[in-house]
Amino acid sequence: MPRDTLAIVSDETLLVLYANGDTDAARLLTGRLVPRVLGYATRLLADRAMAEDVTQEAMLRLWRVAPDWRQGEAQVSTWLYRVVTNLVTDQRRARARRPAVTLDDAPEVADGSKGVVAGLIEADRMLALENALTELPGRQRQAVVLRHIEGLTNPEIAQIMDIGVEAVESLTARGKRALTAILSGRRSELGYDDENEGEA
Amino acid sequence: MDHEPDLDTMFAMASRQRVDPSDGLTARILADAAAMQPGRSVVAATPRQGWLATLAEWLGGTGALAGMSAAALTGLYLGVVQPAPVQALTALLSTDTTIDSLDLLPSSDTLLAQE
Repeated sequence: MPRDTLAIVSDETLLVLYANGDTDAARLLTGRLVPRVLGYATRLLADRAMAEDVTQEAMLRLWRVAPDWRQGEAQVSTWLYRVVTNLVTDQRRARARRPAVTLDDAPEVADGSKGVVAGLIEADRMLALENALTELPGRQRQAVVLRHIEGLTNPEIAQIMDIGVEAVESLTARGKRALTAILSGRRSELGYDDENEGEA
Repeated sequence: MDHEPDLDTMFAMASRQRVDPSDGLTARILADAAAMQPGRSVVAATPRQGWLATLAEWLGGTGALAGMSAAALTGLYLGVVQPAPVQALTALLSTDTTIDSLDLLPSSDTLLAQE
């Protein structure tokens, strides 16, 4: 994947360049967008293989819409989040039962500077968070992930989920309360007791 | 320490994680991109227009230009070859004929004599 030395060029500009036959634009867009899309899909589906399929399909739709892209109407990333949200909703409806989440499904922790124990604790916490997210209702999970992990604004989330801003606020608030309740029962699994012992 | 798990810290950890796609996924996505990409140039380059086409367009199209060309060639032919009808016409026009007087109103005496 070529290094993105054109960070100043917007995703939309790259998409227009792609539509006009620029061969590097697709590589740059893939490098920029796919990690975000894949991360979002993985957190919603808790299944890496399905998340990859959804990501590929979402990107395919982006390539297809590129020649007809109406500039200035929406951000490319917001459009992709919306496509992924809809695809995941379809996947969840089609899935007969929810498979168990394993450590292999959790994204790898990139920061290797911490100690082994601390790294494991962080990995455990991330796994616990991923598991807790799967216990939320689908819409709450989407809103919480978009707001607190992907870092989008409430109006952007409202656009992606096709709901009002107040509904987004309600979903994220209820989702956070539910996550707190779920994770409170797993404090020892998350290493908080060990930290308390170390502090004592 | 707070007995509740620090959810915001966990969110921050999760948001820092970069989920890198596998090489296979990247290859599939780029293959899709190549297959779906329109031609290298969406707007076809307009070929450079020659001076003859420009002149024809300015004069009203290639039909008008052809008619004007035929008329010019015909004039050149008549001027150079001087066919017999043209020579006769030229001779007639170049005859030095003078009219001394022209009686536009016949004399009234003639009219009276006829009566």
